[in-house]
Amino acid sequence: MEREFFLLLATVATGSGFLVVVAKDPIHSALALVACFVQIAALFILLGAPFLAVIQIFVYVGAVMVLFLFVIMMLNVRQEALTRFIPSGAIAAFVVTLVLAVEMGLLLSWSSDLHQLMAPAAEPPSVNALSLALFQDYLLPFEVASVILLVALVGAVILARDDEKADASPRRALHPAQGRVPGRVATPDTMPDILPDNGPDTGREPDNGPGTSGGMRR
Amino acid sequence: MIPLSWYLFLAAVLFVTGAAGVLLRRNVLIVLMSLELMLNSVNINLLAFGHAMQDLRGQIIAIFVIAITAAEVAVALGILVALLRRKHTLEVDDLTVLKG
Repeated sequence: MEREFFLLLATVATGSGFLVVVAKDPIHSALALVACFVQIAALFILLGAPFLAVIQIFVYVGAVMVLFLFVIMMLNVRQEALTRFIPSGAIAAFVVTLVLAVEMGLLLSWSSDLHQLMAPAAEPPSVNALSLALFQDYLLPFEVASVILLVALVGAVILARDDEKADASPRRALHPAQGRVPGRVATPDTMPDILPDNGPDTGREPDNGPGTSGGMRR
Repeated sequence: MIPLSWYLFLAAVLFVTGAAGVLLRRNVLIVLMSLELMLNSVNINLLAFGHAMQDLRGQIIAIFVIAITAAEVAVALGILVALLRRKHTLEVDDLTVLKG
């Protein structure tokens, strides 16, 4: 029974992994990668690691791939070049990939120790034992990983931040107008209607200059 | 019961697929996704060996790999957003700013 499950999951994982590489649209690639990750999570359960399966679903499918889809859809990067693959040096890259595949396959099929059946687990390692090992023996790497995550968070915010200071002030000035008129969507067409409404308390003229359009872009 | 080599073959196939995506595709986003695929195949290897040897360290290293991958994706997508704002391209052939 375990073999059939493995074969099913491995087939779907391999197929969707192949689809990630050959799909034209980045959205299709991302969805195929989600399918592949779900299969791999199921394989983790077969390997006696249900906690890792849950982590895989949470982190990869829930966080990483949603981030990818966010970037794909928000930045409108769906128009793909006509050539999917690198035209220059594609032969060299193909040869390198082929050599890697042959090498891994040969080494795996030559090693005789790997082909014996895995012994059934005497008692499957529980989450309890995993947490004890993680927080006792591997406490320092755990803390280092948390520092790395913090640094990556700050770094990603700084990298993705728009450092144009020119249109910062009109964008900030637009927010009270949007909050005060809740039924309306602040499109550039309705902006001249919205801004005079709060004219008496702010005394601001409705500006339709390039700063306004720059603020509306986000 | 499944032989250990089945898992290793599956991981090798996924790794080679991801390597082909990294080496052959033009779109930076798909290169990043192929990188994720390679990291996941390494996780399969770690868990398979940990299961075969009845050792928890495979799972612990896999947890660290997942955490570092999340950090890597956040930074990579931040770089990608900043790059897209300046150069308006996603093709790896055009992104040669660091070339000497």
